[in-house]
Amino acid sequence: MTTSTVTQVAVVSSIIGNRATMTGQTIGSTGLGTLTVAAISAKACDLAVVGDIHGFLRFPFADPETFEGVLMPSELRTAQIKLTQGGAGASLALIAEEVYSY
Amino acid sequence: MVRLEQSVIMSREAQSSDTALFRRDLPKSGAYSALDIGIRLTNGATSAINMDLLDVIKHLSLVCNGNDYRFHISGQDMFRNHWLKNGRPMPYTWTEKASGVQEVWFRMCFGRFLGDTQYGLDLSRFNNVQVQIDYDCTVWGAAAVTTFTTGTFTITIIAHQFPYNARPAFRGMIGCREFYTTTTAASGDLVEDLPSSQPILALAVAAREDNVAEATDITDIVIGKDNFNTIFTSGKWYNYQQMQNADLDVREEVFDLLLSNSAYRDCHLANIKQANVAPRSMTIGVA
Repeated sequence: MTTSTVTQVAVVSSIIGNRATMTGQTIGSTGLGTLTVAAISAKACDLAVVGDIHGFLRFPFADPETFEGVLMPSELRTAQIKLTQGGAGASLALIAEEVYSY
Repeated sequence: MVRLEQSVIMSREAQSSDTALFRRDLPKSGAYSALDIGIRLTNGATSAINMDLLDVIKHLSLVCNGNDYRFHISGQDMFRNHWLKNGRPMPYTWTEKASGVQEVWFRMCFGRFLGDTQYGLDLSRFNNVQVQIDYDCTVWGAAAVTTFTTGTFTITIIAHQFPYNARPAFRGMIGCREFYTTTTAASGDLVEDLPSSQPILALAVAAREDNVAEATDITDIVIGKDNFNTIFTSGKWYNYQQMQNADLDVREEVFDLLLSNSAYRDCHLANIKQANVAPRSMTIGVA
C-alpha cells in the first residue's frame, strides 16, 4: 500500500505576557515508508486562547444599581491615584467612569 | 419596561480617507440608552499578519456642545473596559486571510443598563452632540497587499433609543473618559489627581505592553484622598487581576490565522492558561 498524505501540525511553543509564539510543520507522505517534513508558511489555522484580560484593571466604587458608594466631588477634591512603576515602555491610561447630571 | 428601538444612524459607510477624525452629528432630539459603533476594515489582497484592528482606533468620543467630552477612550481600552465591566466582549472578528474583513463593535452605554429610564442621553439638552472616531489605518503601515485595502475603513452607528412617545426624563447620564496617558518608566511612583467635577462610579487603569508579563510595568496601585491618609483601595496588580477576572463569563479569544513557522501573535489576553492552534487543512490518500 502506498499513501499520499499531507497534513499540518502546529503548537503554541511559548507564551510571554499576551504573546503566543507558534511553530508548525507540514508532514507529507509520498509512498511506502517515505515521510517529508517542512516548516509551514501562511497556512490557515485557528488559534484559541484562554486567560485574563491583558493590561487592564477596573475599580468600581459604586453599587451598579443604586450608585451607593460613588465618589462625590467633595471627596475627589484631594483624591489621587498612585501607581508604582516596575517596567518601562507600557502604554498607560487612566480612565474615569462618571455620572453627569446634565 | 419600554421596548427600545434600534435606530440605524449609518450602516457600513466606507470612509475614503485612511487616516481621519470622523465626525457625525446626532439628531437634535431623542432619548438614547446606548450607541453601538461597528468598525470594519478589509485586509490586503495577500494577508494582514498580526494586525490588530483595535490599534487603528485612536479614540472614540462623544462630544457635547463642541468641547464637552462625555466619552473619550481608545479602541484598545474601550474594548477591554466593556469586557471587564460586562463579563463578555463586544463582537470581534480577527482574521488574517487575504482580503478578509476584520470587524469590531463598541457600545457607549449612557445608563446603568440597556433600557435604563433613570440615566441616558437626552439629545435635546444640548445644542450639538457629535460622535467622533479618530482613526489611523496606517499604524499597520501604508495600504498594501499585506496590510489593508485603502478606502475600506467602514463605520456603522446604531442608537438604542426610547420611542418618541415614551421618552423618560433622565436624571443624568454616564460617561467614560481617559483623563491621563503616558508611557511607563522603569521605576518610581506616578501620582495623579483624579477628576473632581463629576461623581466617579469607577476608575480603570490600562498598562499594556506586548510580550511582557502582567504586573511588570505597574506593580502596585493605591487610590485614596488627603495625601493617602484615607485609602479607598490599595494592592498589587497581580492580586487585583485575579479578583477582577474571576467574574468573567468569557475568557477566550479565537483568531483566524495565516500561520508560518516560529511566528507570534499578540492577544488581548494574558496570564494565558490555555492556547491551542489547529491547522485547517489535511489530505490523506491511500493507494
